[in-house]
Amino acid sequence: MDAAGPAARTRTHVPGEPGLWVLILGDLLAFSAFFGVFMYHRAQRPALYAASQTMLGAAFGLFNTLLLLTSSWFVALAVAAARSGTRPRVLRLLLAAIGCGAAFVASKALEWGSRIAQGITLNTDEFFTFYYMLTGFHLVHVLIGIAVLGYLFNRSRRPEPGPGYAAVMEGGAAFWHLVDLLWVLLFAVLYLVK
Amino acid sequence: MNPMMRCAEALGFRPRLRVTVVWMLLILATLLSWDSARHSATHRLLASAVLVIAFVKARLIGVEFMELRVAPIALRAAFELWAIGACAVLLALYWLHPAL
Repeated sequence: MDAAGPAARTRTHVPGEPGLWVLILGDLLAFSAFFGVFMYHRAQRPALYAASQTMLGAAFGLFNTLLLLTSSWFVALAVAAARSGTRPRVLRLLLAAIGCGAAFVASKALEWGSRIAQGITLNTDEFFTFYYMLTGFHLVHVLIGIAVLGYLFNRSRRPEPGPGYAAVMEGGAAFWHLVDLLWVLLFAVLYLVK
Repeated sequence: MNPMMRCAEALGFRPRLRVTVVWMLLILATLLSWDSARHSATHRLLASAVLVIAFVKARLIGVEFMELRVAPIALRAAFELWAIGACAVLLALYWLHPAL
């Protein structure tokens, strides 16, 4: 029993802390409900949705996806570096992830800007109402995520990061991966599914 | 052992290589899905495949990057059920509309 005890404890482990997962699972449910409502309305007027979708720049969507996937990779590497205790590497990787996040925000601003310049707004049609609402709600998550990464960066800079450091790194990383995960689905639902 | 070391042990060896392989798979799947979208006509099987691939990617992000593979079974199961359920509901709603 004694020999199995510690080993058994290492086998499973809640990344971050349990409360965070209530938020994450809640967010997943909320976004999938939005996607469901979108798909339902799309099924009522497929021609309108298909026509409006062609006005989205899929290249913007692709670039955004590559940015977020890469930032998630940097964050996953930062967590690995924190575990092996190489703090300068943690800081470099977090900074790279924050850079990708900032580039995502800039790219989204350009994308919205070019839509608005074309005269396409929230009220253009149903498809674009969903487009602005969903990408806007996601953008709020990106901004919160960047703030979380900033906090992880500051925390990792402390000479002694403290007893809760492992959970804070894992939890903050999990939130950033959630931002990435939601975008992957949003990209498919809004930009790719014809 | 400190919590970080315990966790690193639970995650197994070579975590950097593992997350890098996952990242490469995600990028590859993204490029394939994007390429399929260049066909301007509606192709419902292709669109369904794109949706399924998106959920496979989301699941990969959850299980690997968010480390749900070492999470307690209840948490992992909740995530897996969400992925399967949400994907099935979206596919059903997609197929509701008559072909264009």
